[in-house]
Amino acid sequence: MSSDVLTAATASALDELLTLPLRGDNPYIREWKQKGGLVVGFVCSYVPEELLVAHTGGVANARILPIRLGATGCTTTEDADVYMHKFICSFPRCLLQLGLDGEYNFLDGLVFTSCCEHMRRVYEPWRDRVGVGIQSMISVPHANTGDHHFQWYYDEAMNVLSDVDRKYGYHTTTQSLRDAIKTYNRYRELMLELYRLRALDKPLLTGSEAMKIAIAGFNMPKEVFNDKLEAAIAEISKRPGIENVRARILISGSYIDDTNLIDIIESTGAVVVTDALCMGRKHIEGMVDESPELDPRKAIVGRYFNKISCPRMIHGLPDRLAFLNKLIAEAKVDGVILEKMAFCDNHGIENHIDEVELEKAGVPVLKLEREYMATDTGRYKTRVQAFLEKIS
Amino acid sequence: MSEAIIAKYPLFQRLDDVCTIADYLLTQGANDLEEVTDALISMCMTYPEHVVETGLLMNVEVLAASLKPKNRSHVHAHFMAIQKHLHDITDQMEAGKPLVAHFPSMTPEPFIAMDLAYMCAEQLSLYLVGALTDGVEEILDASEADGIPGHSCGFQRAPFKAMETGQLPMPDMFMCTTAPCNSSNMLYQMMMQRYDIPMFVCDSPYYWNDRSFDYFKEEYKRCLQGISELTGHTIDVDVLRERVEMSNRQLQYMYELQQLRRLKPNPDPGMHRAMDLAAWLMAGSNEECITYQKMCYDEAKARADKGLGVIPEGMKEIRTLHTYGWTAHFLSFPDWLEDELGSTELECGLSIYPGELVGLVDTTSLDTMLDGLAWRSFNAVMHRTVMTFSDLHIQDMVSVATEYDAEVALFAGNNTCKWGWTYPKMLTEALQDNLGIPCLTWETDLMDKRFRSPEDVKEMCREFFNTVRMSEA
Amino acid sequence: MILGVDIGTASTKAVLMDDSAIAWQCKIATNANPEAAVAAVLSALQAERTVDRADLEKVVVTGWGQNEVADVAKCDTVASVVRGALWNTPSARTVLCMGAQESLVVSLDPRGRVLGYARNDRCAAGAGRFLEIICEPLECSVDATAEVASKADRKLQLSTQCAVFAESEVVSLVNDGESVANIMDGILGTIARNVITLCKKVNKQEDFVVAGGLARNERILRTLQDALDVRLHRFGPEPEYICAVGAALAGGRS
Repeated sequence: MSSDVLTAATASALDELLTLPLRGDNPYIREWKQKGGLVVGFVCSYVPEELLVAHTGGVANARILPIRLGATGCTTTEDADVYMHKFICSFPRCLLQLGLDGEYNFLDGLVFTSCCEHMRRVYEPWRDRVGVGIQSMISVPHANTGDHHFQWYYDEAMNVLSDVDRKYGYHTTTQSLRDAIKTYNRYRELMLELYRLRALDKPLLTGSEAMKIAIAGFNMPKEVFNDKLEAAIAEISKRPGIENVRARILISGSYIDDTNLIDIIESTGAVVVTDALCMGRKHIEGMVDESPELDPRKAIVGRYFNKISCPRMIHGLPDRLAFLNKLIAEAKVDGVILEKMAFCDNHGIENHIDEVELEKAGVPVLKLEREYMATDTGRYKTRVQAFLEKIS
Repeated sequence: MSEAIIAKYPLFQRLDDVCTIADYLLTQGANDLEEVTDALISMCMTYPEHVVETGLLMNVEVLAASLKPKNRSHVHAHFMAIQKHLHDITDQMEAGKPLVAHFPSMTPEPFIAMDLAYMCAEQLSLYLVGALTDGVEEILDASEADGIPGHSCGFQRAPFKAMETGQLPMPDMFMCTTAPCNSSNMLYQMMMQRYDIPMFVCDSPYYWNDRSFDYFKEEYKRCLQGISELTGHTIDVDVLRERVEMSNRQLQYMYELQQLRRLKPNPDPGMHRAMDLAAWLMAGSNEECITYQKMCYDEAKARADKGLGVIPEGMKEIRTLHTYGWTAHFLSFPDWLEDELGSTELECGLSIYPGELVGLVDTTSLDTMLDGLAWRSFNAVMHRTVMTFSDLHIQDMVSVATEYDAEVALFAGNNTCKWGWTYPKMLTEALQDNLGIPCLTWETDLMDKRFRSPEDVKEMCREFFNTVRMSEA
Repeated sequence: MILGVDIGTASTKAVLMDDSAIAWQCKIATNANPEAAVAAVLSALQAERTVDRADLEKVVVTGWGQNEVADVAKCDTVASVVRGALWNTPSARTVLCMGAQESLVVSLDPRGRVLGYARNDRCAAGAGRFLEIICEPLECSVDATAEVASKADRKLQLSTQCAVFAESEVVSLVNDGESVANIMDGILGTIARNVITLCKKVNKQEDFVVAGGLARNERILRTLQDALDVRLHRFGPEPEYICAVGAALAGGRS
């Protein structure tokens, strides 16, 4: 994959990551498709990407590029709302809207998971009204405490690969699997380094920048992203760091993939130094075990199975609370902002539980309700400002 | 019964009172609301104050509907069953037996066979929502004031808040399935974490097929094994067999009744369908449940043999499929539909239990019984069609509509039900566009009557049925 | 002559139908008192046309307040809307009525029989009353909203989820110095989009009749036209009278 072609025009790797266009305008996706590759979308951190990336390719080396779907730029859900009522989270509705609008016509495959009641239901209208080469569902167990849960999840992952095989063929070798693991572990290590730089006494980058970089990582081949991220980290490391941080904030809650809310928070002089978001820290925490005696497929699925969990994992609450506390200590957090999408039960109740526990520990908390589409800045501003005044 | 335990927990007391009142009114010959008032006054003389106080809060419409000849006998039988059930539970609690609280997706025979106390808190709170005017709104508001989002289903929020405030007992352990939804799973997690209560979770996989049943079955058995290890109580196979034989008998009547609903006119009234679910949740716990279900069947059969229906004479029957379910705070709705609009209830999504599919539990051995009970649970309401693609529920509704000859479909969707609000368009396409069955869809709240009042629902239905009639003319 | 009275949550509209022609019409505030509203209509009829109750073949009441009125014939809102639409456009296959509190869409077969219908009655973000509420902080009359919005030079992204959120957004935007034209354009867009979804839920086909108070709003109509890709026929001469006309023609039931 010739990454030079795409970076040549840009001043720096960091700039490119911070301004990467999405979907049809994304040059990496376009190039991948032009070269006959397959692009497979996914919507949840429980999709074991390495398994898709390990596919050695078909004719003309047609390999799989997994990209995480977002709906940035969606301005209306008037068509999606026909199929999914307003009591449903706005993120899946926006995704469906973009699908209906043809914004995701470049996809060759789409892997859903049974992650939450809202997102899983995009499956049917997408199948019936949008269509995609292969459309898969991973039934993710709600518990990760037993071997039987693991076996179920593993079989589900294999079923996705069968779906891919049925239409496009699917083949891996031990080497291709190990290469995929190496690439993704490197991705995780680099991202963890980025989190370390965010959490310094003088943070070297803002939460807004970190979010943009993370999103860029979902929208290009990981090998390319790794190189660019490494270069970007080198650039970032040269910065003097942000002084006079008004407050160090951790943000957690429902899926976010634009910087609207984070920008509002940081416009007050605070810095979002870390997060416990599923497409943020939780996505990259935990490596695949590279021990040579392990079956690489099992090792890959095992990492996703055992990773720090989503609220849907029914015995995972103690670990998730411990993780939150670990992040707060690690990044010397002054205040926590727990946001949730309207109608999100998972994060709505998890945020409530978190708030009670954090307040017991003397950590200030702000709870916010939001919608996926970037609107209503005034309301957020007022609440965030009041919170910042309280804690700083 | 343990009076002490009942008196200790306000919701137990209220439920017991409701049963006592139902027994008194329905056996003392009160035929209409006027006679009810007289009866309640005379109850003042002989019954404790709390009973009479509860009496004054009874939902008048539900009461009036219950007094009607087509409803009264089996409503009475049902309240005798739930009262016996409640008394048995409290006896076990007084005897110091560990208390397991289980989600409404499993029947209680294994708990009985392990000599445990058990309750389905969601089921118990539904009675209060249905029978009493002050329902659970106060509890729901308190839950929201605590910080639990209002869009989280009241179905668990209410009973869990009741546990937290001592209105229901805090159990020693929970057993649940991960169907139906996020809200349920999160609230169970919260209870587990906050009160350090062990939770035994049967993971519900995302399909309805052989492979997924095999997985679920093992989950179910593992949970029971876990409860056994925790409590030191093991399943007495003979007791299990005895109880499963009882529940088999009960469900047999339920299955036969489903066949009668296919007849024209439909001889089975709709008000008891919510009670059928409650009875399912008590299946195997007492003989009174069997009596109840048998009575529903016998009455419908007697009507069917004479070609009689359940709507006023002279009215044209409009065969109605309830594609979501019943509304707990408006239990008299099916009765109102029958008597006002000639609308008879075929099936409803919150009481449908396909007998021809589920069948009876094989009592040969412990293994066959556990497998059979797992199969029952797998096909429960809020389980079978919830944790899979919406096509399954839609196909179920199409099958029933075709088989039972449905003429209209009503969807009273609980606004907090994320499952419910993701497929109405597909459902309308399947029923209305493809089969020409007019559909009416509206938002309501299962537990909170403030969201949409019964009067509002009646208006909408009147308009809808008038429109249907006009279109047919 | 038949008097049709549509008692809405905000306003009561009445028409006197002489055969199939509108002989007289009137619109007054309901003031949450349906009986009084009907009485006021009858008074006005007497005063303006010297027509007494006794001269009328029937008084037919429809709309939100119909159940509160005694000694009149009643007509369901759906039936009124349909009948009114067919009077206006005999080939109507879809009718949209945008009221103060709710919007209603009805789908008809070629013979004018109802195939299905749906309402947006739980959500203020697509209703006329919402526009009235928003007009207050923007100091604009409801009638002038389309005109004001036509001067917008920037597309604002306002919440479509919730009227309460949208209202607070408006206040913030006003405080931030955003132009009234842009805000108004955004709000009209929000209302239109909610109605559009409703129309798409019910299979919409030509000929498509639009009615109700909000149908006066050119900005909303244009948005609907573009989004629905069907030719819209606005009920005339005035779009709020669709139910009153329909009720009178339908005759109602006693």
